[in-house]
This record gives sequence, C-alpha cells and structure tokens, in this order.
Amino acid sequence: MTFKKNLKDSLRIAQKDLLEFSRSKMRIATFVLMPVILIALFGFMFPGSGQISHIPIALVDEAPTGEGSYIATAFERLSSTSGSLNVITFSSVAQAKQAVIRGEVYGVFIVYPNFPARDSLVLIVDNTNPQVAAELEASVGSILSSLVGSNPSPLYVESIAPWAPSSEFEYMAPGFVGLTVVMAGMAGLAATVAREREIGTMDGLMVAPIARSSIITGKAVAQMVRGLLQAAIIVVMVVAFFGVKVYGNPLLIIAVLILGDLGFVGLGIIATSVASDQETATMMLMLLEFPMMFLSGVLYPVIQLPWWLQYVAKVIPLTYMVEALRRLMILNAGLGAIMGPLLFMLVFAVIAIGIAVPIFSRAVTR
Amino acid sequence: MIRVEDGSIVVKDLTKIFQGGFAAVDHVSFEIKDGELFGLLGPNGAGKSTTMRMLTTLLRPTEGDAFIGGHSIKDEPDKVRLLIGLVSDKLIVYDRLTARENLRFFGHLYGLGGEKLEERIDELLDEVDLSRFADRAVGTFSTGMKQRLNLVRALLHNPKVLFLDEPTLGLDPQTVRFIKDLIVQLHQSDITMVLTTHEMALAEELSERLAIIDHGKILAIGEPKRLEEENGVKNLEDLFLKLTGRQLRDTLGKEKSAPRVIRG
Repeated sequence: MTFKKNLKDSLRIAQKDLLEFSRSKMRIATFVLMPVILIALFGFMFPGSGQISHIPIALVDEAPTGEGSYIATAFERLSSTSGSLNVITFSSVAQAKQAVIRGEVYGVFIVYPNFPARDSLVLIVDNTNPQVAAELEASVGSILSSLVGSNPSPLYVESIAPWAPSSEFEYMAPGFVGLTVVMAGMAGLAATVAREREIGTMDGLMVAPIARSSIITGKAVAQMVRGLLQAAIIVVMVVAFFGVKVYGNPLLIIAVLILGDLGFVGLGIIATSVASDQETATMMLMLLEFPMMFLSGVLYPVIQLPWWLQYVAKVIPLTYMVEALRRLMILNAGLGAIMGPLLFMLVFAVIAIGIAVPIFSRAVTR
Repeated sequence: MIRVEDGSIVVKDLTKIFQGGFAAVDHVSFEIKDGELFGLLGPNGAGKSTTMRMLTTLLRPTEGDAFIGGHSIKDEPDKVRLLIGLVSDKLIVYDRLTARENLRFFGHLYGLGGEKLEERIDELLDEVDLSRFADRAVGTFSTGMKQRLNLVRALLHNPKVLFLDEPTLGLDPQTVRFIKDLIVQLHQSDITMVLTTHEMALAEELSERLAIIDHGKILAIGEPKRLEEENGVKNLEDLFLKLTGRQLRDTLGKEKSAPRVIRG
C-alpha cells in the first residue's frame, strides 16, 4: 500500500460521501442555513460597549421631602433622556425586590432620607446577570455623577442574590443545566426513534397491541431521565469543583426541567417524523439548537441582544426555562416568582406535543 | 361465514397508493382459511411487502380493508394486533438486551407477566435451542440465532396468525432447515401463516395455497401443484417466471403492464 494509493482511496471515499450528501435536499438546506444563521446571530449579538439600553430598573423614593427629594425626580428624568434606563416606580423596597426576583427589573435604586450622607443612595443589582449588573451600575453611576458629583460618592451597591456570583460561569450554570436536559430530550429522542425505524425494531413495537402515543411517551420518558441524570452531574460538578452555590427547592427545579423539556421532546418527535433518516433529523434539530443556545440567555443576557432579536428570544421556550432555573437556583425564588415562565412552558408543551403525537402516528404508518 | 377471533383472513379491495400516485397494491382481494399456510410471492416491488405491512397494521390502506379473525385492520387495529405475530428479515430484537430480557419486554407489551411469562420464555427458548444463551446479550448472537429468537418473540402471545416476511433471508442452510421445521410444526398446531419469500422451493414445499402478485395485482392464486398443471410448467419457479416475466425487475421501476389473472 503506497501513500499515493491510500490518498487516492481516501479521496474516493470522500467523493462518495459528498455525492451521497448532495442527494438529500433537506440536508443541503440545513447545511446552508446553519452557518448563515450562526454568523448572523453572532454578528448581531455582540454590540459595541454601551449599546445595552433601556434596562428596566425600579425606583424607590424613601425621601419624598428633604434634601434628597429632588434626586428621585431628576434620576427619572435623566434616565429617560439618556435612554439607558427604563425607570419603574415602586412604593416599597420589598415590592421592588420582588420585581427583581420575578425578572421584571434588573435592579432597584433607593433614595434614603439621610441624603447626602454616605450610603444614602443604594443600588441593588440583579447579580445573576453580571453583564447587565455591570452595565446598570455604570449607567446609574453616570447619571448620579451629573447630579451630585462623584466625590464623595453616596452610592452603595449591593446584590439581590444571597451570594454574589464571582464569575460569568456561575451565571451560566443554571442555563447549562436546562440546555443539557433539552438537548437530551430533543436530539436524543430523535436519534433513538430514527435508529429503531432504521434497524426495524420499531415494527415490533408497532405490531404490539399498544397505543402509538405509548411508544413515543415511553421513549420521551427515557430521554428525560437521561437528561435529568446529566443535569444532576452538572449540578454536582459546578458545586463541588467550581464553587457555585445552588439554592432553590430541588423538586421545583426538577419540575421546571421536566415541564420545559416536554415541548422540546415534541419538537424532537416532529423532526423525527418529518425527516427520512437519523442524520437528517439530527441536522434539522441542530438548526434549532444552535440559535436557541445563543438567543435564550444561556450564555449571554437576552437584554444584550438587539431589540428585534430580543423579540425572537421571547418566543423561544428555552429562554423561559433558563430564566426560571436561574431565579430558582441563584435567587432562591419561590413558585410565585416563576409562574409566568411556567405558564409559557406549559402552553408550549401542550401545543408541541399536541402536534407531534398525531404527526408521529401518521409518519410511522404512511 | 367468518368465525370471530379465528385465524382467518379476508382481504377486500385492499389498495395502497403512495405519494405521487403510485399504486403499490391495487384493489387486491383474497381469503385465507383459518390454520392455512399461505404463500405470497412476487418480484421485488410487486406489492407483497406493502400487502404484508397493511395486514400487520403497520401501514394504513388507502382504500379497501382486510379482516383478521373478523376484525378490521382499519377500524380495530388493536384487536388485530392481539391476534397476529410478525417475523421479518429485519430482526426485531435488541442487541444490548439479553435473549430473556428481549422476550420479557415484548411479553409485557402483550400484557403477559409474572411466572406464566417466565415459563413461556423458558419453553420458547428451549424450543429454538437457545436456553443456554438466555442471559447473553443478543449482540453476541449469530444472525441465525437472532432469527430463531426473533421467531419465538413473535410467538410469545400465542398468535392466531403469523406473518413471515422473508424469514430465511441471509441464513445458513442449517438455520433455514430449522426454521422450515418450526414452520411445519406451527402449522400442525393450526396457526394461520402468511409467508413471503423469494425462495420458490421453500414456498412450494410449505404453502398449501399461494398467490403470485405483481404490479400490485394478484396474477394467480391457488394450490401450487394445480397452478403448475394449469400453466403447463414443471415447478413453481417456472410458473413465477412465466407470469411475472424474465426481465430484471429492479431496473424496470414502476412501469405498469396489464396483468393476466388466473385462479386455481
């Protein structure tokens, strides 16, 4: 065997593989779309410094009279003029903090009556989102320096979380937990169904006196269990090796993972039913997974995206799952604080499964 | 008159038209008696596998219907599934499970369980000489061993009708003989069997009656010997070639010709 012959044979195999690939329209479509979507996303996702604008912030004025009384009004006016902050007024600090936990605002700015004493202006930031917290701190600092000067600064910054995440990774950890479960549910299910169809064992399930929905439900449950076990491994690792602290009710976290995963299981079933083989199904799902990973707040805060991509992020169910997990795991939020995301995930799951099961039944008997 | 829940099969105008308008099975009608061993023969792409898949409820007919033990494959597929077993060249066994685990899993799907199921598994494994390998992963089995396991998997729930789709494809002569003997033995226990195969000798030896199907239509149906006599040929292979032609069928695609129907 000469080197030349080996090279020639390798080229022949490569040529055959490419020829095979070129015969599937669906694969070509996903193959072209993938880099187009990815590069467009990255291009739009990395805006220049200071481009995060209109960050929602709560304002609590505890000094309606006295020396600091003008601060709150001026802060609101300057925020609106600069466009950097969206100020929402709250009557108590407790209410404002709840709004942070619910994800409605990214921080709370409090004006105390002892102004201009040190620590009379307090900014509580949502430190589960370090990038946004830093941007918020800079914006508030800039507005205040134009109001009261910077020396000595009366602004005291504290975190809403019971602990202060020290790195970006800690922000990402809950997102990775969610992403792992979703990937297992969606891609894992598509792979196992396509495999059983290709090797023929699916026929054995289909001729058995069981409902079609039982087949797909059973497979989804197996994938979910696998996903949850992988999520548990991630949680153990980030806690044991990377110093991440995880709060929240474990049962509630599992419930969010299962509910969030259901809809994606539905998407996995739809892709498997539509695709002719395992490879095409996998490619179709990757086309969904990659944009989701970058747009849903797993890696970067949604508010960092351009406004139109923020709207896209808002229809991606993973965004809600990640948001709920982050609030549960970092902020120790209760059920009430994640009702909104839960409701969205439930609606998505009902619609996706509702479409997927009949499509699957038709696909396997067409 | 059909006796409910026996192993009879009545096929009425069964039709399957795939996307693009190709009629793989075109208004086919025939009957198979309870306990009969019926051969369904045809060249590649003739429509026999599509017919089998419709009869086993794996494919929904476009038109027509079929009744197994009196139950419609369209309207009562769950009742039909309880009555049938399927053995095909695609082995319905999981490589990573042991032989016993495979049978236990499929047994559970048919509502079997407990001691009764374990006894049935032991009995069936013994029947196909796999008792020694009961707790070995099926992935370590030879193709012949897998097909033997596949066969008993289909018999777990004592089906009234057994569909055998190319059950001897790719097997060594010893396994073919073993499976042939098992089919004969099952036939004696009055299970209705529908056999598709390209092995004419096997079909001729085993089938009480058979149908030759091509272009989605039945060209001939009856007892093998009688069909051969009527057509003046000396064996089933000659009959098959006389009716379906000698052209290499795989290269002809979906071309249609007007078939001549013979009833024997």
